[in-house]
Amino acid sequence: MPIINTALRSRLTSAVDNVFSERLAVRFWKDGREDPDRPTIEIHAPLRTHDEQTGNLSGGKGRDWKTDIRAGGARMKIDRAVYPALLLLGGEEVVALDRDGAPAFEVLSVDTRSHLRLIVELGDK
Amino acid sequence: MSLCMMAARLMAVRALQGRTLVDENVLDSEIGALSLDERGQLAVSKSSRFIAVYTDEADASPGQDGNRRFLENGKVVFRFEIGITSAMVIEEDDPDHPGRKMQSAVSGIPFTDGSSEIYLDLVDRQVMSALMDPANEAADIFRGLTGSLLKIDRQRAAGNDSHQRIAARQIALTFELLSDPASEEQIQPKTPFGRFLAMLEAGSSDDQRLAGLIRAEVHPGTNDWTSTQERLGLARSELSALGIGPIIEGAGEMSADTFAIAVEGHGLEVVD
Repeated sequence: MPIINTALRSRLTSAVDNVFSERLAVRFWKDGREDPDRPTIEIHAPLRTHDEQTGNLSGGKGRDWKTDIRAGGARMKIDRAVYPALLLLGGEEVVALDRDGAPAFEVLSVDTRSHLRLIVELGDK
Repeated sequence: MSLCMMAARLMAVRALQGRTLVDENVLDSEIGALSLDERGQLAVSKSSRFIAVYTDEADASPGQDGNRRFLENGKVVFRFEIGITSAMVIEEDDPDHPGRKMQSAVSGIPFTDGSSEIYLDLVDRQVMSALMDPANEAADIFRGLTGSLLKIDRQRAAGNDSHQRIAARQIALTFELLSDPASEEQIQPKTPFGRFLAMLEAGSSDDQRLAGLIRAEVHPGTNDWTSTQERLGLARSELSALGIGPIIEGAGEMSADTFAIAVEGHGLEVVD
């Protein structure tokens, strides 16, 4: 079994984050209410917005639906070595603090299978 | 254009304005995609909640009685679409936990998937209540322009695979719609269409110009037989066969005071 050089791996991830990460606030909601057990935290992670796409209200499944709506969403990749205790369950709010208007996103799903990064799919909020 | 469809749609939109959780933001036949800015506001309207109203497919069967009733509207589907996304929630103080915040789709009810559905159910009922409202002139004109409500169809859609969490409802109401008025004589002030025009004429200058366009389209009939021909969509030959049309091609003066009937072998009879 090959031995993984974890130190080198961490250096690589943090070098990438040095260039590509931005300041994000993570606000925790539980059933629509502020979660008193998990106060808002600020993290640094790369956030990439997707191109906005148009779909109808039914998500494109219903031909009879007339109203179209646009959304883009984003993907956030968090360095697990830096934030080992960060637990995302879905529904949390991510605010891009450095962007104009501080756009907000909502955690739709979290991929925890990578040992390097939490890969978080975000929806527009 | 179908004048009645336009009238009914405009009246439905006005009947809903200010009467539901979406307030004034009732969209008439919206074509472009609704786009939310970074603060979760609809880019066009500065408000994020909406009801979109459309008149959709219409199906008329004027019948096989030999007439061509071009102005029949038949069954028309009115669609009302409501949606709520995470971007449309409001943030407010949590009434039960001072100092903490709460997100809600309906003020006072914390935002969850379940309360998205509650929002849709509430607005759904508010749409119906607004259309039923006896005190609302636009709603009453809408009811006057429509006959039986033949069908109510509701569809739900929800998901988070299109880069946002969204729950939506569509109400499709199939109504019998009155036929369009053929000529101005049919638009009496107390008829639903007459009240519709009166509302436009008392409204903004855009409304008044629209009323002018509609009145120009329903010009007064020139005389009895042309009005009948228009209304029934008859060919000139059919009109003549019914004994209503002009007898001589091109002659407007078709009336006569006396007729002379000659029967061979019996002489001439004059009828007054």
